[in-house]
Amino acid sequence: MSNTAPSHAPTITRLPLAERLKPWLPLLLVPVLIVLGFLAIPATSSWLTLTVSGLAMGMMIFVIASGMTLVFGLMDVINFGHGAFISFGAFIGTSVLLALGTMTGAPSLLLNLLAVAGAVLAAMIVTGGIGWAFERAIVRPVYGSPLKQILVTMGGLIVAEQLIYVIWGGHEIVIARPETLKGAFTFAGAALEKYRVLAVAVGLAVFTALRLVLRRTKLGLIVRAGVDNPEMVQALGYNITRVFVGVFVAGSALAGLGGVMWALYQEVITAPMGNEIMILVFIVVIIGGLGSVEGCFIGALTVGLVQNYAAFLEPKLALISNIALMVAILMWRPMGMVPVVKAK
Amino acid sequence: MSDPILTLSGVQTDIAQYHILHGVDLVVPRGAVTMLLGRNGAGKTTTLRTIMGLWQPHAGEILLDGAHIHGLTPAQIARRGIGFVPEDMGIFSDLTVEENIRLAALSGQPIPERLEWIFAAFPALRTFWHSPAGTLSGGQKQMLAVARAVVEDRELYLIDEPSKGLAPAIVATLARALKDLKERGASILMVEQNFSLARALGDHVAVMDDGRITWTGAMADLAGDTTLQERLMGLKMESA
Repeated sequence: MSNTAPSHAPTITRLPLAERLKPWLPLLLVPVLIVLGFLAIPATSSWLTLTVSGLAMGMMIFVIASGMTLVFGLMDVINFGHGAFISFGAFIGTSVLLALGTMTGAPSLLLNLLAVAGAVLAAMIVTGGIGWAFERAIVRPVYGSPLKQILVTMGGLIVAEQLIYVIWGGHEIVIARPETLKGAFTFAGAALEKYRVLAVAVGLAVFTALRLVLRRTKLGLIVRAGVDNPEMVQALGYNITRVFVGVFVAGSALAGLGGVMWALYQEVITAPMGNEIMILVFIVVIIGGLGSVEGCFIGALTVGLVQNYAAFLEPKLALISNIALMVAILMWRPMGMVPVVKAK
Repeated sequence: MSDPILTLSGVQTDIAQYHILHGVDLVVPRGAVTMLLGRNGAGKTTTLRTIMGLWQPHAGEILLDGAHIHGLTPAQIARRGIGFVPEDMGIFSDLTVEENIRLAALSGQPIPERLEWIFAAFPALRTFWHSPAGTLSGGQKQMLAVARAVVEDRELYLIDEPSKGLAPAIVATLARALKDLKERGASILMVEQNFSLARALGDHVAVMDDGRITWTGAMADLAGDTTLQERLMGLKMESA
């Protein structure tokens, strides 16, 4: 091919500093909240304990919500049944942990972590499988029909909850944390629960892994493009349905992981637990920006911190803190903190 | 007319309750530019989208290089060798220019020689290589849409109104790039409202009206007959 000379020169206009910083402002929200908490909470040790607790809670919600936000972003599917994967994950993980009682009861960090890893693996495999069946049987027939999606996924959630009653019974199950994950250690005068520190580490690992997959791999490129414009992804030669099923299965498996984490966090599980967490999950997905993993991460940490700080400073305020947070953030950024541009 | 790369026979497409294509018969020759012209609402974009599998025809058949492609998914059709530039450009706004191009390279990475051609044809894409595509101007987005389609060799390119809403200087840049593509022997089916551009690039013409092909012939015949232009498309001003 011969070279063709341009008839117009491209130019780059540098935006003012305030405009350039605007997209990054949500990143400051979590540190700003932590600083505000430090100023508002009188004792540094209490602040540190609450901060770690808030971050741990946020990380667990992020793990649960990340798959849901991607599913919504990719195919505009509102999956109210996502809570079922959380509950199933919790029950399967708990069953495995109870079966491995000798490992969880041993005062060995290695054995304890192996037991938890086994529980997580089983929960993720089973919830991933349930997610695959859920997508084929329940979600696929109602693509492009939001009202039907709400109805059938709610129905799916109810059926899943009833199945849990059938399999595990109607009573709540108490699950003790593995021996070496019980209790707290002292840091700078603050008592930090070992399990919450582990939850923060797991959440960070999941976020890093998701970021790497989405930003550094061809699959991630296809998923991000699919969130933006699924039709064009198909027209470029990629089977978006297969990608969507993969994301749905991965999102369900992550919800299963989140279910195990939440079970060990609460130390008690019930069939409707997934449904109960979904209110927080929806808040996180909406304030983060539908379809945005980064927004979901910031939103989850924000929700976790606000809930913990509010519960300490003004317990009655904690009941409405997250709804108030959602209202405030949507007034600031109506499309969420990290909005995803969708071609329509 | 040389052997066809694409043949449509009696293609009918409905969108919801609307019957848009009423039996399109079209032959697109290999190694030439076929312009699909017609008034707004004639069914040009629907024809391209039907070929691409984005809308499924309920009757008729579509053959690419002699093989049936109707009923296949858009992904399967794209992998059979069709590059598509949609009317709305279909740019992935959150992805960088580089990522948009890389995604279009089905073999993995863009071929360096082809990338150099793209940069020479559209210098703006090199300048904004690492910028989010959503920050590009309308003309630059159109350049990216064309670059994405031509990043690898395709059997056929479907290009929907590349000049729509663009400044003359940018249309000229696009025209040069498309002419270059044509000179390489590419087969192109292009929808275009700008008759000057259509005349400059086209070898063959198919005129649509009311969901049917109403006239086919050589571009030279249509370009030289102002009465025919006016009768087929109401192009009184353009033909002057």
